[in-house]
Amino acid sequence: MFIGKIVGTVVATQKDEGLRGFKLLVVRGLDPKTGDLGSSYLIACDAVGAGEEDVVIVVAGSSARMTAQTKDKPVDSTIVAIVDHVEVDGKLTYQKFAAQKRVETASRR
Amino acid sequence: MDLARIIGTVVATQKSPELAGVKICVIQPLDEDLKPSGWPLIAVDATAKRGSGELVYFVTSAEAAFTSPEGGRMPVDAAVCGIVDHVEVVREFTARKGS
Amino acid sequence: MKFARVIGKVISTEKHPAFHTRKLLYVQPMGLDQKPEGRPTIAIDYVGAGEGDVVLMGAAPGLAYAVFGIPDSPMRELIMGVIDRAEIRGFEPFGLSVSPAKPLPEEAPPAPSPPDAARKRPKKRGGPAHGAPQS
Repeated sequence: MFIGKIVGTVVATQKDEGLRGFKLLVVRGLDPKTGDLGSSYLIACDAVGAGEEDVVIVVAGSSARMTAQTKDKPVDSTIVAIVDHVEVDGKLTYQKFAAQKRVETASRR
Repeated sequence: MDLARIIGTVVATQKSPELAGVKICVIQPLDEDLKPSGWPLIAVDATAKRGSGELVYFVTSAEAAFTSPEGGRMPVDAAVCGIVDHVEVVREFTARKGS
Repeated sequence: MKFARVIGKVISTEKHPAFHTRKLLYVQPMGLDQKPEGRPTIAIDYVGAGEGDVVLMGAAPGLAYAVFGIPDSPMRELIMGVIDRAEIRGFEPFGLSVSPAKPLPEEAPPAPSPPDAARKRPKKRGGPAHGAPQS
């Protein structure tokens, strides 16, 4: 799997019937060692109620069809978790609520 | 399957029910010389005994889905399958081919 | 899935049975900045995409089975949807409803016709023409 940040949404009315009802979200890859955004991305189906700015875990390939919502659906990548925090080599590289606090502090100034 | 070192952990409380109770870790794939090879991956720990720094082996793709502790399948594409006790790589055959 | 632009089509008479009646399009995968990413690839279209459309391209083992119900089908890339609108933080939106005939980033956008230029305020420098890619 990879972790990434939700940076956008996709609307497509002309599409496979099996994709109807799924939120299609653009996820940009995040380096777990640094917390930096990379250039890789995937468009994934949401299976956990994720929203813009959430950092999520995306599974790709045939395993993307192993959730209750995506079973037998024409799906090749699925968001399966919303990340609380990531720790690598003893260092916290991403923390969900720290990001929210920074936004609140910035808007108060 | 390939070698990797566990370098971190990911905590996620809001997730697919199929992943309940499953440990998620950050692994750095290694080549046979134990040098980093490729980007870090997020994988589930099917051994449930992971510790940072452990040398492990992992499987990717559809096969990773079969590592659910309760049987059945998990929506995962990478899973740590075991901890390495020691690894030996025979080099002489490669040298013989080239010489 | 990834974004890709339809750049052509492939016609084939002799083919594996799984490909009978399938429409084959040539697509160029793209990045979030709409620039080409990687090499063009052939994908099966079953949603009615047209040349120039930006589409949702999917590829995974067993995906073709989930779509067509054919086991062991030698198909990889599928066009699963046509983008109406993609809105991505830090990038320009794109899709059918944004600009139906959006030029590829390498092409220069058409210059405004003289009556349009005359209507703009002559003292201030005009901004980029509608749909022009940001530098």
